[in-house]
Amino acid sequence: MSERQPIDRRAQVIRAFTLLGGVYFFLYFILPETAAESLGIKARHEAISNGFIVIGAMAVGLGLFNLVSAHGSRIAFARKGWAYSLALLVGLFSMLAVTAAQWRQSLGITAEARKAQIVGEFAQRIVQDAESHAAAPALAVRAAALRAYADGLLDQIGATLLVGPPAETPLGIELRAAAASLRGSLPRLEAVPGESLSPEGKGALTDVGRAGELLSAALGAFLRQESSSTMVQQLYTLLYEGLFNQLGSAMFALLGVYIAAAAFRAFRIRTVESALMMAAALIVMLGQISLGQLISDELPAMRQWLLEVPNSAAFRAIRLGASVAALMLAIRMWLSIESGSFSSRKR
Amino acid sequence: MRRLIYLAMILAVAVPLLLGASRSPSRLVSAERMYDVVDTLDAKPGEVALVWLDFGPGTLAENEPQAQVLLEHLFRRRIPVVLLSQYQQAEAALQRIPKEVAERLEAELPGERWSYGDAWVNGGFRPGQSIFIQALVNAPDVSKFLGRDVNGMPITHYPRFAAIGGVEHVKLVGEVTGLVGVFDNIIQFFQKGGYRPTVVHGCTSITIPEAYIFLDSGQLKGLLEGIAGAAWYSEVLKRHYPKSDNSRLLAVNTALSSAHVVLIGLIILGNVVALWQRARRRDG
Repeated sequence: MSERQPIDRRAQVIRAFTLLGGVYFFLYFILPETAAESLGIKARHEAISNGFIVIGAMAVGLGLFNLVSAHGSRIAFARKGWAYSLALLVGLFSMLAVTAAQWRQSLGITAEARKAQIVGEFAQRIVQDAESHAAAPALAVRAAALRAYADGLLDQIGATLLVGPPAETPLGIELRAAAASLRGSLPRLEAVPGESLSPEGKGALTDVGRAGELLSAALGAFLRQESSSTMVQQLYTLLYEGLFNQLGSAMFALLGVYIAAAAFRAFRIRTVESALMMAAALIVMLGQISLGQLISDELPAMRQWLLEVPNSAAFRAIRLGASVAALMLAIRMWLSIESGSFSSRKR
Repeated sequence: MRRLIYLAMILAVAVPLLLGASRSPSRLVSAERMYDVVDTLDAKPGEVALVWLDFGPGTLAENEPQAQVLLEHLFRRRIPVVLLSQYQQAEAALQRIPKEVAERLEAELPGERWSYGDAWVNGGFRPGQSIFIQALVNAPDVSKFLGRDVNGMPITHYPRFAAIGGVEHVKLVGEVTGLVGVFDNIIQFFQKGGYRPTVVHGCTSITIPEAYIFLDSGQLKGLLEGIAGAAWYSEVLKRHYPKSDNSRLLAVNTALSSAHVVLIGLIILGNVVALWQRARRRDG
């Protein structure tokens, strides 16, 4: 009698979730909008999609963990190539640290701009509450609170930001103008009566709201300009623009050199097919450079025809075949036929 | 021999750049179609263009000029642009490119402004690819669905982007990428209830053959084929806006053309050498 295999619960859970996830997206894609609405799926789709995106984003964390684990152990046990692993981890952690610092700085700027944004939102809220007769403190009290808040904010901006050379830059001048506009609109809040909202009061609140929005935009732009000279931003620029971008571009640029060497060896006329391929390659290349037009005005048109007709036909056939294969693979994954790696059991 | 080939390629690219050589680019019909699409785009107040910049340092040399000309045209037409990416390495490009285009336009047209929050917003990198796109097109309000921009500010804070509404108000989708698969996501999933926005695409030279099948079927309304496509688009832009400065792009395209000439020369030389070797073998 053969020995009974224990049930692999972990693999079963993963297979069940894979199947359910597949069923959900399949149904959502093929069901008419009205059916999705009546089943209550439509209202929850955004939250469900976000859930899947969050799970997908976790792969980044897993990748990071794997990277640190694999290269960390190589450094710890001084295995062959440990110096490369060290360079990788130093690069990883410096980039992480600088990016996190830059992100924090960016959040700080947003929080500052948000202070001005509150002016606009508060003014808008007062109007909305008055029009819908919502339970709220008296209009005059709220208008006075709005004015006090805006005055305090403007004093703070004037004392901390609108001083020194940065205040004379184009964005500094714009910020000063936006601040002056809000300051100018504030006395009109005195026209807001204590009881119901008059047209003058509504106009004053709307103007203050608009001025607050303008100030918020100008403040954000000014602070972002100021932050570009901070050490964190300069470090980020050095690492990303100075190193990462240049190294990545250099890696890709090497392809051009390899293609040139390969073209010299590979594009040789041996058969009729290879002669056809070479002729097509020459026409396509000549058709997209100015030299081609010097040789013949017809070359760009010939290139266009080659790409639109024979190329499209061949690529459609390739795509069709690949898509059928992808569909089969997707069905196998959906039904967990290709799920050997889910299992905790060693094969 | 290989070293000589490498040297020839380096000289072919470097010499025209150093000498500042510049030739008019070749006419590319696909880029012209894209120009016409953007130029005649009927975007009413509240409607936006959504441009995906899905490229990192690897294909920056090809994709950046494409993003520049597309954004320049949209900015000139005052169509508000929402920038997004499906590729995490595009973060720097999302920040830098629109800012540089706006600064160039402001220098060209004193007194006019293209500011962040008015001309464009940067929604940043969004994970999830096809799932994200499906959720975006099904959202009742794109502004609310996107939530916050890359600076952490709610997108509804910017008046021109405050209430985009459903995806029907996205009039144009631009996808600039050299990656495989991300453009397919747009073609497959960026549609809702029969509504499909106008889609334009900037691709690298390697992916041109694949992009043509969508251009031919009409799913794609315009295409920028590598640097050559961006160069011809900039040339058409210059015809309509004579002050537009495309000198740098034309210089790069000229250097690339020079590399093509060397490549063609190498192919011919390789065949001549092969024929000569074959003849020698035949003669004993």
